[in-house]
Amino acid sequence: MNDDFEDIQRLIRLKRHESPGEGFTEEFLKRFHQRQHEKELRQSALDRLLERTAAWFEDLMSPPRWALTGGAALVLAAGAWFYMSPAPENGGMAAKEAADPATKPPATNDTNRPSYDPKAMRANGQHGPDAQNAAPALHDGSQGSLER
Amino acid sequence: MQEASLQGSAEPQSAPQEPVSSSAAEDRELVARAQNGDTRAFDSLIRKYTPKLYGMVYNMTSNREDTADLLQEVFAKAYRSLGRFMGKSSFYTWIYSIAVNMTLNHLKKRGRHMKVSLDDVDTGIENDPDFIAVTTAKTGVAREVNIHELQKRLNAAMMKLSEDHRTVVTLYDIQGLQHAEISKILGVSEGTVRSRLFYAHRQLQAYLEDFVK
Repeated sequence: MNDDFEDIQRLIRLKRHESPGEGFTEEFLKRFHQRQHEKELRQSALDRLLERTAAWFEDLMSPPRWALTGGAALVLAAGAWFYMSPAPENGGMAAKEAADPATKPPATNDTNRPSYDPKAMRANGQHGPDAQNAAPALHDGSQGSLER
Repeated sequence: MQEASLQGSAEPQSAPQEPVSSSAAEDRELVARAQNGDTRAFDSLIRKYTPKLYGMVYNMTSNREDTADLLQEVFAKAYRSLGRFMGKSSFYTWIYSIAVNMTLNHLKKRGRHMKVSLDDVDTGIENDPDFIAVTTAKTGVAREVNIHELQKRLNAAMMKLSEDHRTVVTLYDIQGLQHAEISKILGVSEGTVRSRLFYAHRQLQAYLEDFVK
C-alpha cells in the first residue's frame, strides 16, 4: 500500500521548496516586537484613561474643599454666637413656662363630664339619644324649612 | 475500513528538517528563561519555530499574507500564555497545537472566500531527488515539467482536501513529523492519523494522476 502512494508523497514533498524567502524570520521578529510594543502602549493608554475617569468620578462624588471649609466655619460661628449671647434674667423661656400653673394643660380625668356609656345610662334609668330625645327634627314644615 | 488496518503510511524516508524533539532540552531552558521575563529567550524560540510553523500555516491556507498575520497571532498568544505552560508536553507540541487550532479557526471563518497567494519556489527544486524521481518516473527519461504549473496543481490538489486531511498531509509529508508527534499535536490517536493520511493520499493521487503516471 505504501508503494502505491510513494510517488504522490514525493510530489507533495516538493512543496517544501515554497518559502517566504531569506530574511523573513528577522523581519517577522521585528514586526512582532513592534506589535507587542503598540499593544503595551494601547494597554497603558487604557490604564491612564481608567485612572483619570476614576479620579474624575471621585471629585464629582466628594464635596469641594471650599464647601467643607465654609461649612465648618459656619458651625464654629454659630457655636460661638450661642455661647457668647447673654442668658435671660429669670431663666429661660422653658423654665418660666414650667413654673406658671396657668400654662398647665387641663386635667383629663373630669368626673362631671356626662357619660354616654349605654350600660351605665340604662342602669341609671337614662336613655341615650333616641328618636324621641333627639335634637329637634324636621317634624313639620315650620321649623327647619329651607324656605323662609 | 478499520483504522487499525490502515498502516500503509511509513515514516517519511527523508525528514526535511531536524527532528524537533531532539532539541526539547534547549526549548525547556529557553521557556524557563522566557517565563522569568527574558524576552531574548522568547525571541530565540520565535527564530527557531517561525520557519517550521510558517510552512505548516502556509500549506494549510495557501496565502502568504494570511500566514504571516496568523503566525504573529500564534506567537502573541504563546507569549501571553507562556506563564501557564507547565511543560507537561514539549514546547514544540504546545506551539504546534496553538498554530493548528488557530489556523483551523481561521479557515472556518474564511469559508469559501479564499484567496490564493503563493510563495516563490526556490531553484533548489530541480536538484531535489524527489523532483528527479517524479519527472523521470516510469520512463526513466526526464520529462519537461513547468515548475510554476506544478506548484499551481499541487496547491489546487491540497486545497481540495478537507481541512483535517490537509493538516495531516502538511504535518507528515511536507513537515516530516512522525505519526506519534502528529497525534499529540492534534489530540487524536495514531490510528486516526494513519487513516486520514491514507484517504488524503488516495484523493491526491486521483487529483494528480497525470503527474504520477
